[in-house]
Amino acid sequence: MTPLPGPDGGRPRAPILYRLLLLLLPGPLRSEFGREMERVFAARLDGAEGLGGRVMVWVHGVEDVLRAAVAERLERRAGRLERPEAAAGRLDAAGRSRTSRLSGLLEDLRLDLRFGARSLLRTPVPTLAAVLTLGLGLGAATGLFSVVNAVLLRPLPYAHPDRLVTINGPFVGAENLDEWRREAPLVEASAAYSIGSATARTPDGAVAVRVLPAGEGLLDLLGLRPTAGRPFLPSDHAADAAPVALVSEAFRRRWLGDDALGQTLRLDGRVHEVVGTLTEESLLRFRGLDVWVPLEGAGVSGLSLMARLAPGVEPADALEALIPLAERIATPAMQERVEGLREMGVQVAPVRVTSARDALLLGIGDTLWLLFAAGGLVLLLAVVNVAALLLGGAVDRSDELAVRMALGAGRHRLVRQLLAEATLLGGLGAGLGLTLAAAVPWLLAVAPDVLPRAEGVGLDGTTALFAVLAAAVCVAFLGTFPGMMLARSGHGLVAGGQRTTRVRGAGRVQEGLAVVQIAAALVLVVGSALLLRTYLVVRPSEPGFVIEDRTVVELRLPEEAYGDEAAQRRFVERILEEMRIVPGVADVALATDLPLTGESMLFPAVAVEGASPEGERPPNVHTRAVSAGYLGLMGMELVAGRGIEPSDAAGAPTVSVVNESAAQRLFGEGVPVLGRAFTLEVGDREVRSTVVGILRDAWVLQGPRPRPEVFLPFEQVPFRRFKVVLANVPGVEPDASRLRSALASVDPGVAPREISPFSELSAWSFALPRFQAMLLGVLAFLTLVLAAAGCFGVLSRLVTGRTRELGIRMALGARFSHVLALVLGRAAILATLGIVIGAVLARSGTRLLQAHLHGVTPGDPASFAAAAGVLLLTVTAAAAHPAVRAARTDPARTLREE
Amino acid sequence: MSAPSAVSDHLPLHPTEFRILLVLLGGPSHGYEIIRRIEEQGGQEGPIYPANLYRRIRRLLDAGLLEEVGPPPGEEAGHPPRRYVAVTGAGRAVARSEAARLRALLADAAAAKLLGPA
Repeated sequence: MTPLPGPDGGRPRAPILYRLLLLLLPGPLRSEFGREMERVFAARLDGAEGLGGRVMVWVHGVEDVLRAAVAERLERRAGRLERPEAAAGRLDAAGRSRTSRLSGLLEDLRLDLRFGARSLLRTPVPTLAAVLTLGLGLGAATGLFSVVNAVLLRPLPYAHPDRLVTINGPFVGAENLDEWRREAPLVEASAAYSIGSATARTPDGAVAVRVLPAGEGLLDLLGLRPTAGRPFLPSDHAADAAPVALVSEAFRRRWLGDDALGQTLRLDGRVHEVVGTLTEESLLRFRGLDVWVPLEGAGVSGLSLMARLAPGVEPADALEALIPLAERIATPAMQERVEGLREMGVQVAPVRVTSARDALLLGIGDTLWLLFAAGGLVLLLAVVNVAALLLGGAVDRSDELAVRMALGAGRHRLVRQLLAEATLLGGLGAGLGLTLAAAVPWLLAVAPDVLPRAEGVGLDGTTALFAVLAAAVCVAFLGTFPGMMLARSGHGLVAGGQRTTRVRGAGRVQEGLAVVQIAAALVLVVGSALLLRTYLVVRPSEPGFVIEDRTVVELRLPEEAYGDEAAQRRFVERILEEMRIVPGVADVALATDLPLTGESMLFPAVAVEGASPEGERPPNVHTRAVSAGYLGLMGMELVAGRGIEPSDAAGAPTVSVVNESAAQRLFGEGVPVLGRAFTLEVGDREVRSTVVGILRDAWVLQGPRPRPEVFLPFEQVPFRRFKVVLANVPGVEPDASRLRSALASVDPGVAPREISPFSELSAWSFALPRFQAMLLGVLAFLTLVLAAAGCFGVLSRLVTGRTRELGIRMALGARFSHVLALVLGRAAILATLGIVIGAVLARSGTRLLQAHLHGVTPGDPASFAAAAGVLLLTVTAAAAHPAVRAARTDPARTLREE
Repeated sequence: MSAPSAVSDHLPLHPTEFRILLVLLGGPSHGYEIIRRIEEQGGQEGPIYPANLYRRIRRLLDAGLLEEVGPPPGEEAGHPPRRYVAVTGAGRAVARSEAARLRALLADAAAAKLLGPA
C-alpha cells in the first residue's frame, strides 16, 4: 500500500468515471464532501504503482462508493418513515399530490431509478460485471468511432468539402481539358491536377521529390492559402511563364531553411522560383507531396480533375450527366485506347467520379470501417452478455417478481423497473466506455504515421453523442429483453409454489445467446489470426532481405568538395575501407536508399530497347545505386544472371540488376531480359544500362504489388547522398563513436546525418499491418473474454438449475465422469454450433480483409483451425468449473433438501 | 444536528469513527489529512477509501461528536475549500468511554488467555 502523499494530493479532481460513480451517493453527502473524496481518490490513483496497482485502486474505490451508498441509504431509511410505495414497487396516485403530469413522471422516474439502484446494489458482483462488460463494449465502439470520426467523418479541410469530387479516366486528359472545364454539366468549378515525381537539385544535392502539378484554379477550388508567400497567379499558368513552385512546410524545413521565398529550385533541370509554402494538414493524401508547380509547364501525362459539384448533386448524378460529354469530347486517340482495351476484354469506364473524401483517404477508410465494425461486434457481444446476465438475475428474482405481480403490480410496472436498472447500468457503462475511449489517442501513438489526420482523434461532442446514443440503444434492448422474457411467462411463475419453477424458455434463450457469442468471437479471432499471419509472414521471416544485425550510416557529401564524380568515388572507396575495420563490423556496403525506409528515387525509363509493352509509356522505376557486395550483404536473392561486381567500375560498360517486377514492367511479361538495355533519366543525366541480373521481388508493403526496382553500380552512377550499410558481427552493435572517428579520418567535413539499426529504420513500414493486427487482436481478445464469461454463466446456471436431477442421477449410480461428460457435452454442443455458425460468417466476413492480407488467403484453413481451437479451449475452460461443481454434487444432500 | 444524547447511545463506536476521533483529539483537521494520519498510525487492514470515511465524518457531525471549524490561520488557500472538523466535548467524552469499553473488553480477553504479554 502506498501512503497518501502529504500534506496535499496533486490533482484536485478524480477521473470522470469516479465522479459519475459518486452520483450514487445521497445528494447531501456528495455535495458536502464529493470534491474531497475525489481528491483522496485521485491521490490514491497517483500513488498506485503500475497498471495492477491502479486496477486495485479502482476496485477498492468502486467497492467503497457502492458500500457507502447502500449503507447510507439503509441508515437514512431506518431513521425515517418507510415509503411503502417505493418498497412495493407500486405507486399510490391518491396518496401523493401531483402538481403536474410531468413532475409526476419525473418522480416516478426518480423512484424507479432509486429502486433500480438498490436492487442492483443488492447483487454487487453481477452488477459490477455488467458495468465492466458494457463499459468494455461501449469503450471499444466509442474509441473506434472517435477515430472514424476524426479521420473520415470530419469535413476535409477544404472549401465545400462535401461537394468536391475527382473526375478521371481514359477520356480525361490534357488534350480535352478546356472542354472539361468549360462544358461539364452540374459542375460549379474544376481544376486539373496530377501526381508525379521529379529530381530536385537542392543546395545539398539531388533529391527525389514528389510533385503535384496543379492546374489553374486548384488552390482557389480547394480554398487553400499559402502560409507564406503568394499562391499561383493566372499569369503563372501561361505557357511562357517563368516556372514557380510552392513547397510544403516540411520540404522547406528540410531543404530550404527559413528564407525559402525567392530561392530557386531545380526540378528535373528546370529552374523554379519558390513563391510560397503550404501547410501539411491541408495536403491530406497530397501530404508528403513536397512541391506544387503549375500544371501547364510540367508536361504531365495522366491528369485528373478536382471539381466542385453544384449544390445537392450526388457524384452518381454527376457521372450520368458527364458520360455524354466525355463521349463527345474524347479525342480519337483516347477512344482508340479504350476500344483496344475493350477488345482485350478489359472493362474500362471512360470516366469516373469519386467523392474527394474517398479519393483522398483511399486505403485507410476501409481499414477504419472494418475496425469500427469489429468494435461494434464487441459491443454487440457485450450487450448479449449483459442481457444473459440480467435474464439470469430476473429468473433468480422470478419469485419476488411473481409475488409482486400477484399483489397487483402491473406487468409494465415490472418492465419499467427492469428498464430503470438497465438505464443505470447503461449510464455507468457509458461513463466507463468514454473513459476507455479517451485512451485511444495514447493507443494510436503506438503506430504513428499510419493514420492521416490522427492528431484530431479524441473525445469531442460528436463522440460523446455517439456514446450516449449507443448506450441508449443498449439500454432499450437490455431493459426490454429480459422484461419481455419474464412478462411472457409471468403468470406461470407461482404455480404450485415450487422453488424449481423456472421461467419458460429462459435457459434456451441463454444458450442461444452463448452460441451467438461464440460465433461472433470466432469471426474476430479468425480476422485477427489472418492479420497476425500477414504481419508474421512478411515481417521477420522473408521480406526478401535481411533486417536484423545491420547498421545504417547516412551521409551527404558537400557539393563544394565533392562536385565531381571522381572525388565522390574516392571518398566512397576510402570510407568503405575505414568502416570495414571498425570492431563489430563484419562487412560493409553502400546504397543510395534502403528498402522499407520510405525513401527511394523514382526515375522514369525513357527508352527501352526492343519491344516495349503495347501502348504503355515506359514506367517510373525505383532506382538505387549500390556498391558491389550490397545485394549479398542485404541477402537479396538472384533469380538469374549476376549481381553488381567490383568489375562494374567507372569506365566499364554500365550494367544494371532489376527485380522481377521491373523486368516485367520494362520489357513485358515472360520476355528474356538478360543482356537487354534500357535508359533511365536519372536527374539531369541519362543512364543507359544493360541488364546483367534479375532479383527476386522483395516484399514492400506500400502497394498491392511489389515495386519495380533497378540497381545500378554506384561506381558508375555515383551520388553525393547515400547510406553505408554495415553487417554487424552477430549480436554486436558497432560503436557509433568509432564509426564517427572512422568517418572523420577520411574527411572531417562530412558528418553522418544519422547512425541507426536498420531494424529501427524499417520498422515504420510494418506499422500499418502491426496496427491492424494489434487493434483487431485486442478486439478479438475482448470477444474471447466475453464469450468465455457468457458460456461460464450459461453453464453455471445449467448446473444450478439441474442440481436436483444430477443428485438423483448420482444416487441412482451415475459416475463422476458421467456427470462431468453431461456438462462438458453441453458445452461442446454450444461450442460446435457457435464455431460452425461463426465459420460461415467469417468465411464471408474475411473477404473484406482481402486487401490487407499478404501471403495468406481469406479462407486460410490454418487460421480457421487455430481460431476454432482457441474457441474450443476457451469454452472448455469456461465449462471446467461448472462441470466439476456438477460432478461433486452430493446426492444425499440434494435428496435431503427435496 | 441531533439533540444531545447520552454517551452510551453512541457505544460501541464504529472502529473508523473511533480512529477519526483519535486523530482529531490532536487538533482540528480535514478528511484528507485524517486519512493520512490514520494510515500513518497503522493497524487498519488496508488503504482507507474516501466514501465511507466521509460518510463516518458526516455521521459524527450529525451526532454532535464533531463540529465544523474554520481552517487554521495560514491554511486558507485550499481550493476547492476543505471542511475542517474538530472534536466536541461530547465527542471527547464518547471517545473516552469507548476507550474504557475497549480496555475492559481487552482485560476480559487477557483473562481468557487470548492475549500474550504485550
